[in-house]
Amino acid sequence: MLARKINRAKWSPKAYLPQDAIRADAVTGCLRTRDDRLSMWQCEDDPDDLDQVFLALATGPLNTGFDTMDIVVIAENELENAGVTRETTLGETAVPALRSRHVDLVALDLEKLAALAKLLALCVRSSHVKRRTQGEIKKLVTDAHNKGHIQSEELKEELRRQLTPDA
Amino acid sequence: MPKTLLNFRGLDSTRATTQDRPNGVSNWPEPPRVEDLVFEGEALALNASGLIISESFTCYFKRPTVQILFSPQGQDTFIQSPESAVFLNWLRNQYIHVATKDVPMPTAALLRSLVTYSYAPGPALESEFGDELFRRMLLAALSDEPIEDGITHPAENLIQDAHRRNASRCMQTLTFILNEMYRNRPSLSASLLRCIGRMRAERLGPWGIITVKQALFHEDVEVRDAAIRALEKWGTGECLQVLWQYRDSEDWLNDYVRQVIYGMTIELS
Repeated sequence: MLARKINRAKWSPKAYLPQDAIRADAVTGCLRTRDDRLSMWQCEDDPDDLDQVFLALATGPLNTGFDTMDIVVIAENELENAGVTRETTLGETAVPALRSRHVDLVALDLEKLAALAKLLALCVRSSHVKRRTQGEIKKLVTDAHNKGHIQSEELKEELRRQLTPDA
Repeated sequence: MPKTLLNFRGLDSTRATTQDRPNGVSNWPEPPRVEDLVFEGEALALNASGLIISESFTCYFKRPTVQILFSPQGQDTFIQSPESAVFLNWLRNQYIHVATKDVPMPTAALLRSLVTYSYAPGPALESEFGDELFRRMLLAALSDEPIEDGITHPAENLIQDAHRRNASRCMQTLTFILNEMYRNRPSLSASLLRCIGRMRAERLGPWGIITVKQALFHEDVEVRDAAIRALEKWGTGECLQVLWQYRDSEDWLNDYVRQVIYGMTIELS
């Protein structure tokens, strides 16, 4: 499976759009590409393993605090069927063990992005979205930090302070 | 009778006492009776369109500290606007909490009479209206970049700076912007709410909860989600109470509320 962070609320239907339409805000807000690439994380369809994706996302180089987060999970073969190709790249997370789980969907064009958006919308509607609250994310990161799984020096100082308040 | 001091921050004169009859005003009313004025705190004024425009208002009398709303000209918009309804409700709760038994309960009529009595806007106040520059910069920042989970947004720094400069004015402007955007730009207002939610609850005071409570009843799910996120972030007992009473039309948001309540209950206990 592949997981992608989204904003769940942006995928809810709007009164001014047909019921099954995908909002443009969902595409531009949750599927922002860089160099025609889109970042995703490999995972199993298992809550504990999904937590590893949350952990990776919560310990990125720009993270300054903890927030409630949504991830959507999609089967890899569905992406292949949509003609989307992928490339393994090292993920930007302060948890070294999780870096190799990162993949980029590459060479995306409008057609492929639309196909991807439709797949994600189906996943959202069939509840393949997992939300972790701010408190749960904080616990995940704190536990990983206490177990020595996080390279603290790679975290932003603001986030590091929250993990080691006495330091 | 003790001196009645009405302090209008933001006005050139800074202070206007009941004895200071403004030039050209012939019907400046007599000071209210001391037992009618037991407010000490800040007030937000609504203009005829129901928008909050004014600066702080302080009445030095008895102990209770409350926030009150008043209308510049005492129009009916004062008691009809949703903001004032929320505020009045809060005022009553606060008042009951702090007042002694022999102090009469404030009513809309009393507050309105205060307004008529006290409001004397000048050019200085008008020029400060809404802090247009702050508003523009904030909207530009929110439009430029989406809010990313766990990552500081440039709009947060703008809000923090404005709040440091003048907290009450900052909150008035934020209220003004939110009211302006709720109808046509709900996603943008949700982004703003998320930035507000990242501020410390104690810095926002009751304004934070009032603002978020209002957002919980917005028709847009993104706004409601942002409001719940703010309550989760602040994590106070009052936030927990609000969440206990809240039911959303979306199942996934109700699930979220349950998750938050569970976490906060453990945290607070």
